[in-house]
Amino acid sequence: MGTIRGERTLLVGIWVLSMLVVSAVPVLAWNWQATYYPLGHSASFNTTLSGGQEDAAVEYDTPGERHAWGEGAYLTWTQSAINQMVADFYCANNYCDPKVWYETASVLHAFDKSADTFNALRSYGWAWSNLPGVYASSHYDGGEYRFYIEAPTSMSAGTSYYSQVMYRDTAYDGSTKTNGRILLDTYKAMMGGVPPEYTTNRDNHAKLCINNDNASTPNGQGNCP
Amino acid sequence: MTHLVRRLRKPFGIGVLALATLLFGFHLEQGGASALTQATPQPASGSPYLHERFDGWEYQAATDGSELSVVVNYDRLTPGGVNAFGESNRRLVDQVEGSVPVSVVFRRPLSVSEFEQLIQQAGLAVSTYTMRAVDDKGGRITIQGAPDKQMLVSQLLLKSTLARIEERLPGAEFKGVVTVDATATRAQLKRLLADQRVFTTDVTRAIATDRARSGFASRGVDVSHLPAQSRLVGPLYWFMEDTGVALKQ
Repeated sequence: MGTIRGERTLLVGIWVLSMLVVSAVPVLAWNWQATYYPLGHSASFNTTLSGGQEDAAVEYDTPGERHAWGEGAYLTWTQSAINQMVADFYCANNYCDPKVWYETASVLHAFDKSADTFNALRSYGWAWSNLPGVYASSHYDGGEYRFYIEAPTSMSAGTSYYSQVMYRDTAYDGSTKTNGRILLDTYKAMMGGVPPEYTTNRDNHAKLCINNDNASTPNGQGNCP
Repeated sequence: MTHLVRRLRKPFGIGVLALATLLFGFHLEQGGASALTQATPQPASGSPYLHERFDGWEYQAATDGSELSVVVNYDRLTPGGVNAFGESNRRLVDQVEGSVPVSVVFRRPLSVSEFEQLIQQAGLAVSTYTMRAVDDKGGRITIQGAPDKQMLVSQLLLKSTLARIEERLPGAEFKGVVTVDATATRAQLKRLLADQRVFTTDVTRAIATDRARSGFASRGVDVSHLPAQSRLVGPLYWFMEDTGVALKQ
């Protein structure tokens, strides 16, 4: 009896200790911590998306690293938007004079929490998407990430698309944590003209906040804490 | 891949659930929709601009005075066009001088270990690489990765990325690495091209950038000091798959 009681005490002690440890260290969160739904449109255009949501999370999946993930999820386009994308891309595949065409991109930005300026949250190359013929294009030292759709004929109005980017907190030293916002947008750019890649349309859909170990939705005024 | 996800989930399940319960929520604010806009700008007239066509490819270059931009294009819709682009690049290797940016495109996805071995043997300086996964309906997933802390492929980052793909597209299967962006010398490129797994080494961006610099110079526009940005329109491996040029697995 005495032995069993001792084991129970030990087990309870281990459980209490493990709970303390779980609550004391940042959680290795591979799931999403915040969602922005439904998506808005700041300046809709004829190939912008028609639906979906933005998600974000802070993750400590690599020792000594702090990451912020952002995604556009369940992204959909109408058939007429897809038809326009195909028409926009015609001169990329065919002879035209001048040879100018347009491409649509799903875009993610990591900004400061209160201004559209870049901070220490930077993509360094890890990202994925199921958008057709995607050309991944990193700008502003990884502060902006564009997923250009370069096979628009393979787009389907019945399919959900995803675009995800991992941002690294390049200032993280184990305690200093860079906070900010992750924005989801759709862009259209003119290609092949002067300059060869010129953004013509920007539609801002959503923003989520990155706060220490969590992601969250902005407050009622649209600001991040 | 499901196995990878389970390994990531178990140790942290309680904490993750608790955090998700506390933080997960829908934000119902929606921005006001504005009138539909039409994108109709035209190329600016009078700006320095070049357009050259070659066997299997072409490029367009322009400058705004702060940088040189180069866009490379090819016929990606037919097997003949894709193969011609691959062949042109094989021939262009002889024009390479010094170390140049290159996209090495494989005939099929290489496993991570196969890829690591090939890169080590070739001694390439890798900047990024592109991987392929396929969802349970056959839809293609493009994964971008980059070396990290002396590791060509971080298993932790790859597992984290695959876990997120599995969450969104259950049953997705990781295929391997299909393209690597690096810098390489002519000798390195020739060794790579001797490898049966390599479809081609795309050096068109480097060749086009050199031609654009000399082309502008001959027109009296000095762009020798400007940084250059270049890109290929249409990821080659995607269109190798579309046209049946990529090897079936």
